Amino acid sequence: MMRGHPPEADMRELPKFVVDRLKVPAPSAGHPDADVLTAFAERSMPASERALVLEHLARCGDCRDVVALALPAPAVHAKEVVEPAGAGLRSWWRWPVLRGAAVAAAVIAVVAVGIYQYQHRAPANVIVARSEESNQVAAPPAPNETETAAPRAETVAPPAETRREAAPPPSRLFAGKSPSNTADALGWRAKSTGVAAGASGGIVAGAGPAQGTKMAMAEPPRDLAFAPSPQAPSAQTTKQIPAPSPPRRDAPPAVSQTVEVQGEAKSVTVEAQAPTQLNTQTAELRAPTESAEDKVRRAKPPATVSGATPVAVSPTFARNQLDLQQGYQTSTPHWTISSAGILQRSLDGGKTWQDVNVMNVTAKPGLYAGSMQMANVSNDRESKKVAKKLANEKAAKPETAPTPIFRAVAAIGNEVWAGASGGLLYHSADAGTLWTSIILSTQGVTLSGDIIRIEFSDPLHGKITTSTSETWTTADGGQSWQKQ
Amino acid sequence: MSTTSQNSAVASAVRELLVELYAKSGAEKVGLTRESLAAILCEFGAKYVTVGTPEDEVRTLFLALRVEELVLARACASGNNYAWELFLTRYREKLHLAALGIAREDSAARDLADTLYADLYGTSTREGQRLSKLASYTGRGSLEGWLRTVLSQEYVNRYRRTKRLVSLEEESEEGAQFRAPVPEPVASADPRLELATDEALAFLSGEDRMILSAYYLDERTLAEIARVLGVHESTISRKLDKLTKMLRKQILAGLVRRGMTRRQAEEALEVDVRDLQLDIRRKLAQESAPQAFSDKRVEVGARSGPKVESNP
Repeated sequence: MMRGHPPEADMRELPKFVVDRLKVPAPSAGHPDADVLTAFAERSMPASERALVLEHLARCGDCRDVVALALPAPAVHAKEVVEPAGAGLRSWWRWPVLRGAAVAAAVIAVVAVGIYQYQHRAPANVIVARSEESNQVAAPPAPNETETAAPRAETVAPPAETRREAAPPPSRLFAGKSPSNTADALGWRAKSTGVAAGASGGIVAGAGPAQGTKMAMAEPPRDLAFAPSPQAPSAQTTKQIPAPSPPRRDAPPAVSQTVEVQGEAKSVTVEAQAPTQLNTQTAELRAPTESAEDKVRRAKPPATVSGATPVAVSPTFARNQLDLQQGYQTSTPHWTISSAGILQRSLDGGKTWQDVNVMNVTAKPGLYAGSMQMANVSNDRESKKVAKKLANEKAAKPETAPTPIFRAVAAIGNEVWAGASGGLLYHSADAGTLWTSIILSTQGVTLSGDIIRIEFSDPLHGKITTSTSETWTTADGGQSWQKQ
Repeated sequence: MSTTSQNSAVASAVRELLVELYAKSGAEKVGLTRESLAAILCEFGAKYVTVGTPEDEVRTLFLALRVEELVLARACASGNNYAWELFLTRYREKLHLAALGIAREDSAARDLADTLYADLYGTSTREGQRLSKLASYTGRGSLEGWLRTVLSQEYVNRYRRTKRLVSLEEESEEGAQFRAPVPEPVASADPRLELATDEALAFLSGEDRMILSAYYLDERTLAEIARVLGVHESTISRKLDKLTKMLRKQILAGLVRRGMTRRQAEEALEVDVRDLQLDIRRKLAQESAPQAFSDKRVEVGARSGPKVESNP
């Protein structure tokens, strides 16, 4: 019975007397209570206290047994954490099977999404890939052919189910493939052979405005799946709006309106970056115009975000927001967390609440949250259909994975951030239709504990507080996060 | 432990956050007033906040509270029927699954869960009041996690009870009570070895020592240790390698400091491994978990996947 460990354990055999000396009489009293042990296991305690508990566990076999026994059954999909490139990719990514499966799943996902988009005659699909080497394949803007002539930027990330299986941190995937690519402290590397890389050769190759890079994605290359999908915060794009258009709620918005409010795609990184890269990116981001200001003012904690916050300085923006939402819903949603930790949305000012399932549309928690995805739905008929279809699918799809227990939610206009236990963070850029799970990690440090508070002062600047007293901030709408 | 009145940080945090927490907790639904929530929070503060803790830390602590689950548990403890219904709907299934996961056998699991239910409901009374175990839940972790922990504690306690009984019986059957006491392993040939070892071990951080103990004493798998600590298996693997190397080095250095030559020290380490092995093997066999536990561990190890590095 000596050892249940695999043979390689012998490599680290300790002299028996050392093992013997490890045994110390367990402390007879002062065991941490069930609450403390639970908080320890769930990593929701401050580091100082955690150290104390570890000291106890080091000497108390009973408590070690209790903690080990009380672990929840291992999830089917083990929690995978995005680590900085090169750090932890040795062990599991070596499995050829996994690699193959990941690629296959990614291809399927992308093709499926592509077909889906085509079926719905998505006027313009933009996949923006950050890749310095792929500019030559950047697709030119495609003419828009929908009835409404409202260009719609639809950025697609592989659907949740597949991606969970498929997507390892991109750094792992590509680290070996393009050594020339230096800009990838961001962890993203998309050797997108057929993918549009919007901007001209910057680090943030994907930062091209959406209307500049439209591309149907019938048969995107497989790498596409790992390309960072653009997020479309509306702030900086508004500068392209020549003049505010008159507010018209029911009329379809002018072309420029729709696109420019929500259209800009920029690349997203989930991993935090080294400051140098950050700068490049933030430079792009730092163009808040009036609308951004406007949004700031509109921005409120979820409870106060309501359809009736007419502080809007720029009517264009406000109207567009409203218009956009009216494409598939009737008013600005309110957000809350139910008592059972379920994220809920109300479209009628809080009278009725629906559970929102963040799992259906996007990456599952626990896996790397690679790319951001979002669909901008303009308020044309087309998008109504899409939204409806999405909603139907949502309803139809059975829940397969455990839902995260939410602890905090913050919404600014259509941007919704929801934090759950275990450091899970979800983001929706379209008022809760599409969700992306995000794992915060910077230089090897991953957010731990439960997210207990999310505060966004404006769409760009946000702060997350965890149960372990960590604070993470973003200054670029969640593209990069820094641990304070 | 400080009283609430001494701890102004707690009081002010409770004052400040009460409205928010009350709304968040849904205490109204289970018939808890704001005052009783405040009392619960103060009690929590008195238990876990030491005087002098900075206020923002206290705030974070309160904000991290599973206040909704806490309120539910307390309402159950005080006998609120609606709360009980809610609790059962939410946790009955999970509890049974957890019990099954711990006991790994249906009847034992049911037994375990039933015992816990009795505790939760509070069969014993004090001054006419039922004593529910739920009253001791403070919301620091999830209620579900707490339930699992309590189940595990119960299981470990129970297992130790049975172990004691069994081993006594077995011993008398085998006439073991007449056996000469196992001679204390005559502390290796050289007491310096133990001194050096203790010294090296004393340098370890709690976490390192816990990893070593879990691995070498409890025979947990890398995967299990990793999950307990919330890190990746490979991290544990690397750490163990590093720790064992480091320990050897330090023990050697300690021996040399105590007057051994390098060579002697190395020999002492090696010789000891061989000589002491038997003794310690016996000692380990005596003190270690009975089959039930080790079986389970192997299973768990197997279940948690083939991830155990075949190529660390």
